[in-house]
Amino acid sequence: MEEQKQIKDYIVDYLLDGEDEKHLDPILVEWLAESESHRKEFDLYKKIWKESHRYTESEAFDPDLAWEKVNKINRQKIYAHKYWKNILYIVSGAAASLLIMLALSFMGAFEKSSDMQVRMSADYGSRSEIVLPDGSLVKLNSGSEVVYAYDSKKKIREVNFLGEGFFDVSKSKEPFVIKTAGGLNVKVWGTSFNLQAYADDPIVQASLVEGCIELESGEEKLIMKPGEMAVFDKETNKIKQMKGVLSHSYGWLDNKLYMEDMPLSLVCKYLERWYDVKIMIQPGLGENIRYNGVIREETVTDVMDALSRLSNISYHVKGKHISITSK
Amino acid sequence: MSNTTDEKLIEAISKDDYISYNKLFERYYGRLCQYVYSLLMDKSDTEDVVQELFLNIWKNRERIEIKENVGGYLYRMAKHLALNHLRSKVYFNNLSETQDQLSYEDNRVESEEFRIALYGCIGHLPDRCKEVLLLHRIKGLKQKEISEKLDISVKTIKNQIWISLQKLKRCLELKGI
Repeated sequence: MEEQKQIKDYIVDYLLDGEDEKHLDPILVEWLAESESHRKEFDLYKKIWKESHRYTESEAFDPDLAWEKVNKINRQKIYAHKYWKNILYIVSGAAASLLIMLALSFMGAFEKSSDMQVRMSADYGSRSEIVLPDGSLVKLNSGSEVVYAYDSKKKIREVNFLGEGFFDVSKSKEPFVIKTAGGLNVKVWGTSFNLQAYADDPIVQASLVEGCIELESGEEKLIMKPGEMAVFDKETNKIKQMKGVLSHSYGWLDNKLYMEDMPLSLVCKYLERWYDVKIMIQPGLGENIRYNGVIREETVTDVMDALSRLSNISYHVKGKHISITSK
Repeated sequence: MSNTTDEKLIEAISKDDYISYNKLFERYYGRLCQYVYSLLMDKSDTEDVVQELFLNIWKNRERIEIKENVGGYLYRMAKHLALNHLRSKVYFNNLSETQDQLSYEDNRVESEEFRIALYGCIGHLPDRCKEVLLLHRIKGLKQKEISEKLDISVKTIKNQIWISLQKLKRCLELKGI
């Protein structure tokens, strides 16, 4: 024990003093000569010592910043080379007028045995449109993702969905079921409707334009008729009819935001998704300022200008960050 | 989903799965930078090289076929790109220093596995051990300076270094190095 302790000191001193083999302490020399394993151990320490010189923390490199760069270049390439003409099911990219950054984020089709899966998403700040293998059309609002799978055994068209989308589902005997994050399933027969189901919202909203859909969560069920709107509360698991103007719910298809007594905080939530920005609101303003009307603007600063004309606020933009204060 | 194997990610990427591509990026970006930095010793060059690597993967995704361990493949690709980078620097600047670095690196092919494993192990050292070791090895501080900076005795410094060596040795053994 005593000897081991000393050897340890000799080794550390040797490394700290700059590894001078000529001035090896006799005690260390003797220890090294004792066995091959001592020599090996010593060499390993030396190697560790040498190699650790070029170490750097991996945290020194910011992956988010890097991803932004890489992502941007990839996207430019996707558009420049029209990669996606090779991909069967995608027809068009985006409602271009709104886009701050062209970002059709994702496309892919891969087959699992005979079953087909198609995935697509629209990042914050972008929108996209996809035709599913069964001919159904889905328009995706910002920050949305759709994964379509066809189960050939059960003969079910199944879609996992997050975000907001306008569905135009083709008629077929085979059921079309949409699963949302809140546990609400939407059964669809040939029809068109708007579905808003963002993961960070407490509710899911559906607005039926034509045909018939059925909302279902556990025991709760609601069969909707054309022109109706319904809301599902993720917390209580209740489904209720709601009042409102049907066409306003899918105003986003035309870049329109309909506001009916809408608090500033909610307006900002929409803007954050649509334009991929972060908005800071001066405390107290978010719930107190409310808007009525419709906004249709091209850029987020145009929207902010409109809002500050409508109410007593001013805004300041710094990169992707916007702060709102009272005038 | 977070436990998807590297192999599954590569397979999905080759079928245009951009989300898997993003996952692979998140999984490896930091580690590859750490490794490439040890070859280039320049932060911005390092980031350029590793970003180029990932751009290449997406560009060539249809042709990518990785038969071996994906991590190993990525590290080798990173090394290849990093050495190319050094060569182009020699070509354009004729820097003798870079030339030295290049020949130094070329001769050290066998040690890359060791280095990668070691870096992983250093990352897992207790904070105090790591601090002492790195102040000496990277910042080049003398024992006395470390002792003043951290307000610990020279004896403690030596102890910490010995503990680090023991832990690193064991960690490397576990990794089969």
